[in-house]
Amino acid sequence: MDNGVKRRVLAVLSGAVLVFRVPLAGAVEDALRLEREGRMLEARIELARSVDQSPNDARVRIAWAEFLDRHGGAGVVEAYSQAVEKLPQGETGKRREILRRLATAALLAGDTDDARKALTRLRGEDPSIWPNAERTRQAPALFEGTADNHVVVPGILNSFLRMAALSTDLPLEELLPALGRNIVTGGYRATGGPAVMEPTEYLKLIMQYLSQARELEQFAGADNSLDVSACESMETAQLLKILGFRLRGDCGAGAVLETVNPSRAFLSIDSAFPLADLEAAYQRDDSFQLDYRASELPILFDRDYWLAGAKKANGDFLDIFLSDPGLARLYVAMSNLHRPTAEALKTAAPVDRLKDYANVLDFFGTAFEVESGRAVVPGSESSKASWEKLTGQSTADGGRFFQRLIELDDGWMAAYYDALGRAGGPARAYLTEARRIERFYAAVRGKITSPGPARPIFRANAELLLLTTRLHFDSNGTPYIPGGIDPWKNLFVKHPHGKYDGRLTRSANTWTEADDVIEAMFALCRKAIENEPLKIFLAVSDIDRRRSAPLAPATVERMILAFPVHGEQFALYNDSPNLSDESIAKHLDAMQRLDKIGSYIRRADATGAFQSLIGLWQILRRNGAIPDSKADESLQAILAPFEQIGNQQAVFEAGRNGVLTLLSAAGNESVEAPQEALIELLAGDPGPGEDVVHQEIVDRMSRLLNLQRLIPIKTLFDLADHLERVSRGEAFNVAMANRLAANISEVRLPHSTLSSAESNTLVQGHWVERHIRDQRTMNLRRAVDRAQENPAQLLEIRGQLAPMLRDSLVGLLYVFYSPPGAELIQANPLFIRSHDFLGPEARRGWSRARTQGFGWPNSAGGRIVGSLMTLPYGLASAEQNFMVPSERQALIWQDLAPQMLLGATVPRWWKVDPAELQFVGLHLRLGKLLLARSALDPAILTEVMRHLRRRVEPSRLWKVRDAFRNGAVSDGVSVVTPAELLDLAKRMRESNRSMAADVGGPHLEAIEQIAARDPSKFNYDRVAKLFGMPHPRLARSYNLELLNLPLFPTMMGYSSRILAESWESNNLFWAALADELHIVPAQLNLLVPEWTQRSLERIFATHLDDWPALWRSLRLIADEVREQQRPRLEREVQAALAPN
Amino acid sequence: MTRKQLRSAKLFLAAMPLGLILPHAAGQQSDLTDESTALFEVEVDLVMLNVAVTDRRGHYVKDLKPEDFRIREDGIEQTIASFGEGNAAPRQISQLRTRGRAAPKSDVRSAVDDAIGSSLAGANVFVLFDTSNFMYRSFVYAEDAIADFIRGLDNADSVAFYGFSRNLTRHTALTAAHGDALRGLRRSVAGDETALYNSLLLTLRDTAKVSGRKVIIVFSNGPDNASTIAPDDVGAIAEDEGVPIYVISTKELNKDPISSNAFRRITQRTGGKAYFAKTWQRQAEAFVQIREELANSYTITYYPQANPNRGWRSISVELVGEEHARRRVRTRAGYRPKL
Repeated sequence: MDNGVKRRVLAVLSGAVLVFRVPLAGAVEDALRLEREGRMLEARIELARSVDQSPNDARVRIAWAEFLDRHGGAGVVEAYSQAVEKLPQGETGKRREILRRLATAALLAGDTDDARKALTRLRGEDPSIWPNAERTRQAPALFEGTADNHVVVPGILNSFLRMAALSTDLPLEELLPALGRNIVTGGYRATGGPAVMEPTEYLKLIMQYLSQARELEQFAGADNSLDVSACESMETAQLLKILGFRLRGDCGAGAVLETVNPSRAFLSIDSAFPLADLEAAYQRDDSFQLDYRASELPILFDRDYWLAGAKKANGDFLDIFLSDPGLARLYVAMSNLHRPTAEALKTAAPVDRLKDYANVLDFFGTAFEVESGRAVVPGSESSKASWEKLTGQSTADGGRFFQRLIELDDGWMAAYYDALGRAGGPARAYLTEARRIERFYAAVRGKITSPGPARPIFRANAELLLLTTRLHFDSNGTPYIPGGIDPWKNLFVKHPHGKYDGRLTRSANTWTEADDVIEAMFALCRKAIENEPLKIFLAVSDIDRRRSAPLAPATVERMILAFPVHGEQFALYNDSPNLSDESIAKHLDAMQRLDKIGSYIRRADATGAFQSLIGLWQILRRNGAIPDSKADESLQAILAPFEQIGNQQAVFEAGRNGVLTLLSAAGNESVEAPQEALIELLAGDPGPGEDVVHQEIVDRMSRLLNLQRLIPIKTLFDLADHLERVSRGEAFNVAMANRLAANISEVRLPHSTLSSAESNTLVQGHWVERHIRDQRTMNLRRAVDRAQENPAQLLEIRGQLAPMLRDSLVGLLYVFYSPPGAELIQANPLFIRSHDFLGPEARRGWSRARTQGFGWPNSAGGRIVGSLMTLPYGLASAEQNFMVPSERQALIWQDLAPQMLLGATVPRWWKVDPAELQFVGLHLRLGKLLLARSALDPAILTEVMRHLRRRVEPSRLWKVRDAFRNGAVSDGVSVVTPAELLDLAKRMRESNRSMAADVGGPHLEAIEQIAARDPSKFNYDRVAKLFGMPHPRLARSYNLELLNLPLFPTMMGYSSRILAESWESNNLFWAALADELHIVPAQLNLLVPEWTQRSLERIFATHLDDWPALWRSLRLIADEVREQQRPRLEREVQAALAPN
Repeated sequence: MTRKQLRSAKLFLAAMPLGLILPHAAGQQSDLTDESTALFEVEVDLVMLNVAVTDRRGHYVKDLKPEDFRIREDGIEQTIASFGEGNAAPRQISQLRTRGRAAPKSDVRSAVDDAIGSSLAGANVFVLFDTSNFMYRSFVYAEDAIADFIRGLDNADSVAFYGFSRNLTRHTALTAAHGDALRGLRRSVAGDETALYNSLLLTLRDTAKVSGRKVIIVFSNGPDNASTIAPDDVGAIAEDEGVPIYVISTKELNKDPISSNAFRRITQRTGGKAYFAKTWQRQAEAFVQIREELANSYTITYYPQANPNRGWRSISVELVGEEHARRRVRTRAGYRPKL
């Protein structure tokens, strides 16, 4: 946008939104200026002072309310309420505008009373406004059970949820689908092939619990109350018998409950029956009373519909549901569908027929959409014909169309449809072109359709989704093929390791255009293994799309060949996208040379030193310490010595050279304190006033290194220099050697204290143990004596320092990436030294970092095996074991939590303008306002839904609309994630500006003012670079980005990792929170890791796709932070206002 | 007082192997900020020992006096700073050792010592209950035994109840209300894998946040299949922190020698004890013995004499006098001062 356009926009905004704005009092204008300058606290104080001094001035009140609204602060509703009361009579337009804002703010806050009052007043003044407002004026309808629309859960609902491992945060209507999901994933196991399913212990316990609960219900009688009038009574005996306990001791102070029937007692404890209260009542010799009312859970459609498809139709619905996993799966699938689509399918096919394809519907049904009876298919009108041709069914009957879609080819068609439905932008246009729909489908489907992608317990079409969402296109909408077609053709035709696919190898010779390559990639999607070319294609495409100059074909060829072993290292090229082809080639060369080192010990040391230096270089490039201009030169300088590693001395020299190169490239020639200088650089470059936070980060890293007793780099360099001088005749400095020996002697091998049985069972890793033992037994003085003044031999002694230098360098990366707590580094003094660069087969040096060594005595404590390139995730994965869930045990999400942690540890926020936080906060709040207003205004709803559907699946959009229909506006808004809110606000700002201004005038105006201040700083690219997330799997990069993809489900082979990477909301959310509370941006360096960890500990999820639980947990932590920070804010304001 | 002076007027609590008195001492800071306060710096590196003394028959020996004990650290004899028996608050024996330009004002010194004394009345008992699937069969009986133990604790004791399987769950934070701990106990849920040593480490981190005498009681059946921390690393931290660990293993000693050895090592080095009790009756007995030990052991503190050793320091506690010749003293073996 050029400046002229921007000025016009601002002019329009000022006119459209602030029609009632007249020049404000000086103090208010000052406050607004301060806000624009990012001085939020001062602005708040000035405005608060104005309100204090002119409490009856409507304009001051409005300015105050708008300020709070822009920052999402508490008291917005109250502030607008007060503002509207202060408006003079006659200012009808202003009043209506303020009332509109008041109503929207109240709806978002879930403040139904204030919302209703404002809406009533508005509609009283203008009955034509907001035709949908009526329903939001009513309280959301509560569920009322009728004869056939609910299932009865006996006893206390929370006890049942506990036994069924369901989150108590779930709304009632989501409980039965969540139970169904648990039955499908954990309720049964195949004991004699898939046909013979045995209930698991989980399900048996639920059934036993229900039986006990029904007994208790009978005991409770008609009044649904467990009453025990006195300790010594028949009721006591009856109740305790059901519970599995007896009374030990006489009634009164000595009465104690004691287990008599362990099975029943277990159920009583596991379901959290209030035994302690019962015991306390007996001890007081008092009565005990417990409300034991059954609960009613809503059933989708009605009970008869489901019973028609059940294996047995008689008995309690809950029992039938638990005993029929097929029915449970269909229930899950139908519940998760776009509701009109579910209704259409229900009409189109009988329940028992749908049940046969419940797995396909469950995995891929969320993308289905029926509107006005017709199927809404991905693509244009012409695409529709292709879909109809492929399914043999008209889209005019949506129900039958989707029924046919799920019944075809073991689910491949549904998986393909789902994948194309998620593609956006040019990919969608390209892939849904009529001829390609059929061509690529044929490739995906192949000749033999079994096993289908819906056969396993998790979706098996991950690669298909990755391909359709990660394809890159040139400006003409043609898919980008890195290096042209030839390298890919050669991959199939001349691959040195044999053929990937016979048919593709044959057809590759005839490839002439991009479509041919893409078709081959689609064909590989159906393979769970042997799909390496697809992985290579996605990886190289990711690299190429970031580059200003495309990769040379020869480089692409080399990368293709290197991928199987060194593919994980390609993140380096993504993180530094302008590396020259020459640097890439040299990096690949160096890795290959390292692999040829025959000595395992030397190879491990060289690989460790190499990877550490590359890792450090990568961080310094990311945080800008090494400028673009020095990227190639410095990388090549680091790589050069690794081309010739003939002995340990060369390893040491390569390490030393790397350290000096890094420091020099970053403009720091500090040879005196290289380690301290590197730590300073890693911590980042603070701006004015950010030194305290920076020092805290530096101190933390230094402390962690000390705990590992790693030898300071300077000590090693000094020793090496000294040995060189000794080789030239200088006397050996024994004191210096002794200092080193003293340091190392504190490193203890775990074997020393163990019994022989433990030592024999212990698996620490042969090479790791040797690495540590060699250091402990090193004796420099003896080595010098043995060298007998032979200069060459004396110089070689320096090689003995190489393992220590490796550890010290590796340590820098560990302490940089360690999440809050860093328990493994703090508790296991060998943790960093134990990093295994070889692995059991001596071939794991370049593979993904994994934690090995769980459980005693099969480990000497966990250690990380594999490449440092993937250390951030590996370390977070190891550290997540030390999180303490605040809810019931074992709720940590094993593949999601590490991604969230690394999203908090990789970024650094220095020199961030507070207005950059505000820019994000304003978008998120504008997005919320737009959503809330769309609940009232159909025109806005249409536009909002149009934008959202680019990345939100139809089933979820339906949930938003359904919540709005029920008057539960804040519930509907909470279905949309922060990343989606940002995207919505951005798109509305770009293409529906007047509508956005009408809804969130103060917000949009502030956004434009901030953007106009410095367009190079306040833009969406910068938002992504500051508050995006790293995507090590999706994009093979640790750079912060916003990929703006639809939320991925949990996938076979990836579990929740790509779901976590597509989430992208955390840092945006924290940025908005920091803006709201006027937290200094540099503080985010400390706070975001802490907030993230706390939110992970608060997740109360029911299953692996339960991302709303993550979203709830973020909001909970934000509320806690607000509770903690708002009094501070208030105190600061009050202190400033207090008379001196 | 200038800002610079304010910064200098700090009560510097360094190298505290016990992690104690910090909350109390920190609370005294505001008292130091008036104009009349002299500038000084105090280094407090108090070491606390839980000492159990038994006779030949294993009976606890009571009514010993400070002068009956001789404490050495790395062979250097130490002066007892405070002494207490059982749950009684310890009494101060010697004055706070000071280091710096000036001696602390007497009110500050007594405030610190009062803080030490008051914080030591009663014990802070952390119960760590294994709820993993290994414990599935004995889960309910184990709860009964733990419930009895909590009911029988001295009123002066505070108790925290934690459960663990793959992760730790804090059912009841440290509280003097024992009924709350019982409620927490009755809320525990059977879990899956066993990460005993990870959970023990996290419990130790919690003990470091409270002042006073602390013990951890682990109730487990032994095998650990999910920890990434080795038992000896956790044992070393407990030793440094001065927290005795007691373990009640529901497996017999010879059934799982590897776990049993690990239990014995970490309990011995921290001054605690391991009990191998398969039946619920023996488990109850073990709890009774632990309770008895808590009620009959001695709490002794000292400020270490000058010692250049920044690594592991050995501690030896002996009884002085012929009449104690055949008595057995149990306490932690040593510690590493914080860097």
